[in-house]
Amino acid sequence: MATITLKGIGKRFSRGAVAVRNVDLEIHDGELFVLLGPSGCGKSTLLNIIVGLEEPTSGTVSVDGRSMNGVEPGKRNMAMVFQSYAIYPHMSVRENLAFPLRIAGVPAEERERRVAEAAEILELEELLDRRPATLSGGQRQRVAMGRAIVRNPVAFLLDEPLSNLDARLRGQMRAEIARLHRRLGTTTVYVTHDQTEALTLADRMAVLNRGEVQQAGTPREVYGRPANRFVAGFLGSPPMTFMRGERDGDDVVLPLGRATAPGGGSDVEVGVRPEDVREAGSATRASADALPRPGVGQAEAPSDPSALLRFRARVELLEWLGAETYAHVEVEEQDARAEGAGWGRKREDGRPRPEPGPSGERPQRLVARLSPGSPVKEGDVVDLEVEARRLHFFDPDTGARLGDA
Amino acid sequence: MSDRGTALERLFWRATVLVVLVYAGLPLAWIVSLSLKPAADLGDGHLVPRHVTLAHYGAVFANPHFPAALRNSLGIATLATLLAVALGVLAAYAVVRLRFPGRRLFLGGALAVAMFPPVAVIGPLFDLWRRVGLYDTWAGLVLPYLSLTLPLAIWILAAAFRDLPWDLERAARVDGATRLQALRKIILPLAAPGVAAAAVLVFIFAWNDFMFALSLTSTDHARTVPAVLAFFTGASRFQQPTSAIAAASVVVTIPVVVLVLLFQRPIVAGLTAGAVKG
Ligand SMILES: Nc1ncnc2c1ncn2[C@@H]1O[C@H](COP(=O)(O)OP(=O)(O)OP(=O)(O)O)[C@@H](O)[C@H]1O
Ligand SMILES: [Mg+2]
Repeated sequence: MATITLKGIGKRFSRGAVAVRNVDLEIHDGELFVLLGPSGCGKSTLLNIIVGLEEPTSGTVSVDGRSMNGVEPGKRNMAMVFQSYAIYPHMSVRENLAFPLRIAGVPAEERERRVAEAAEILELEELLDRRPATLSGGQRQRVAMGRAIVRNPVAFLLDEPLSNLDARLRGQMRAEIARLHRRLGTTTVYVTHDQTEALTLADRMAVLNRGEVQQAGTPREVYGRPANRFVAGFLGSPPMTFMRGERDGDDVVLPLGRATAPGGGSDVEVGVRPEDVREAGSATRASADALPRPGVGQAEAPSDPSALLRFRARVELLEWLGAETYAHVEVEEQDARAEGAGWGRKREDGRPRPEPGPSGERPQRLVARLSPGSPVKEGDVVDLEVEARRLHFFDPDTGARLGDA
Repeated sequence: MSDRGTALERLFWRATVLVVLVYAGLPLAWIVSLSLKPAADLGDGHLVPRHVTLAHYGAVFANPHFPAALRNSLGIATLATLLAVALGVLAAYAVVRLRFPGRRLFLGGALAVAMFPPVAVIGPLFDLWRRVGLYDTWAGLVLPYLSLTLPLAIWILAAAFRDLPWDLERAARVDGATRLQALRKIILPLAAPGVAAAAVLVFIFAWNDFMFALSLTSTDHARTVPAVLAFFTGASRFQQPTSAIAAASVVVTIPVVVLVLLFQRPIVAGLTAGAVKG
C-alpha cells in the first residue's frame, strides 16, 4: 500500500538523450495507474526510476512521503514484471516464486506457505516443479506475476506485461490483471503503448510523449477531453480526424460546415472522432449511446440546427467489423459560408461555387462510425452530421486544447 | 545435383576431420607407445609395441621429484585458475554492465597484454623475483600465470555475460538482491559455460607452462611437472630417458584430457559465445 509521488523527474542519459522531462505525477494508494505512450516516449525509463533501477538526473520519487532517492531497488519493496518476464531460467517455477523471499531471509516454512498462496491465486499449482523453458507465454506471464505478488510489495510495476502474448491471451490476461488488482488492492503502475489496455484497466492514467506528461486523469477525462492534439490523436481507434477551421468572427468554417469556436480570433484545428459522426437523422439513437462528456452543458437539444453540422460525403471505403462499421468518406465540397438551409448544397446542382472551400483544393477525408446494419455502400453519397459540442478544438500552433479544457 | 554436392561436401569434411585427427593424435599415440616399450625396443619403429611394460610408469612415480612436482603443478594451476576466474568475473561484469570512462581502453589493453610475448618478461622477472623473494615459490608462478591468462578470461567471460538477458539481473535486484547477490545467484549460474571455458583455458595454460616453471623455480618447493620432466634422466647415465619422459608426459596429459572431456560442451559453448545468437 503506498502513494507514489513523482516531483520534477527528469532523466538525461549519458549520451545526451533526454528520456524523461519534468514529470510530476501522484499515484494514489491502491489505484491502478497506467502510463501510456508511443514507443520510446520514456515509459520504461520512468518505471525504472520509480523502482530504482535508474537514478533520475533531477527530481524526487517518494513513497508515502519518504524520498526514495538513492535507495537500492531491493530496499523499496516494489515488485516489477518485465516485458520479457525475466523468469530465472535455471530455477523451477517454485524456486522462481520463492526467490524474493529467500533473498529476504524468510524462513522456509513461511516461504512454502506464501509460494503456495501465490500459486493458488494465479493457478500455478500444477506448474510449480516445471522449468521456465517448458512453459507457454501465458504461463510465463503468470509466473512473473506470481513472483511479484509473493512478497506483498507496496507497489506493482508492470512494464508492458502483455505485449508478448497473442491477441486472445492478451484479452484474457488483461481481465486477470484487473481481477488481481481488485483482489489485492495494491498500488499498481502499468506501462503500455496499447490504448485498449489503458482505457480498460486504468483507474487513472497519464499519456506520455517525448518524455513529457501530456495529460493525466481518468480514462474518461483523457478520452473525452484530450488536453492537446497529441492526446486526441493518440487515443481512439480509428483515430480522430483533424481539419483546419478558418476563423470567421466567433465562428470557424470547416469543410463540414460552420461552428462556434472558442479561443481568440485565430484559426483553429478541429478534431472529430469517428463515433461522433452519424448518418443524418439518426440523432436520438446516436446521442443516447455516446459517451457523456463532463463540463459540456446539456442545454442545447441535439436537434438544434445551430449545434449540428450536417454535410454530404462520398463513401470511399467501408470497414465492417460485425459490431460496427467504419466508413472512410470524402467530404463533398459545400458552400459553408452560407447560413441556414442552403449550406448543404450539392456539387451536382451545376452552380459555380462562390469561393473555394476552406480546406483549399484537397478534399477533406473523415472516418465515421455507422451502425453495422446501415445500408450504405462504397461509392454512395450520404448525408452525415456531427453535433457541434462533440468537436474538439485545438490551437494550431501549440496543439493545446481550446475552450472547455 | 544438390544431393551429390552435399555428399561431396560430407566426404570433404570427413577427410578433413580424419587428417586433423591423425595430425593431432599420431604424436600422442607415439608417446603412449614409447612409454609402454621396453628400452630395447625403443628404436624399432613400430607404433604398436611388441612387448608392453609398465616399468617406465613405475620409474616416473619412483622419481623423488615427481610427486612434489605433481603437487606443485596441481596447486599452482588451481590457484591461478581460481584467481583468474574470480578477478575475470568481476572485471567482465564491470566491462559489460557498468559504464565507466576508459571501458574500451581497458578491453583493448587487456587484449594487448594477452598478445605480449611472455619470453620477454622472463629475464627481468627472474631478477625481480630473486630480489623480492618470490623466486622458487608458488606465488612466483601463480602471479605470471594469472597476469597472462586474465585478459583471455576477461574476454571469454565478457562475451558470456553479454549474451545474458540483463533483465534477469535487474529483476533480481528488484527482488531484493544486491549486485553481488544477483551476480552469484543469477548471472554466474547462467554464464556457467563461459566460466568453465575460462577456467579450463587458464588451468591448461598454467599446467602446461614450461618456460616460467623452468626459469623461476629451482627446487621441489615450486618446480612443476613440465620443468621436472626436463631434468629426468634415464635408468643409467648413458641411456636416453626417452621412455621415462614419455611416461611422465602421459601422466601429465591425463588430467588435462579428463578436464577437457568433462567440460567439452561448455567450453565449446563458451568459446563461441557471442558468435551466434542462441
Ligand atoms: N541506457 C540508455 N542510454 C541512452 N538512451 C536510452 C537508454 N535507455 C533508454 N534510452 C532512450 O530513452 C528514450 C526512452 O526510452 P524508454 O525505454 O523509456 O522508452 P519506452 O517508452 O519504454 O519505449 P518502448 O515502448 O519501446 O518500450 C528512448 O529514446 C531511448 O532511446
Ligand atoms: Mg519500454
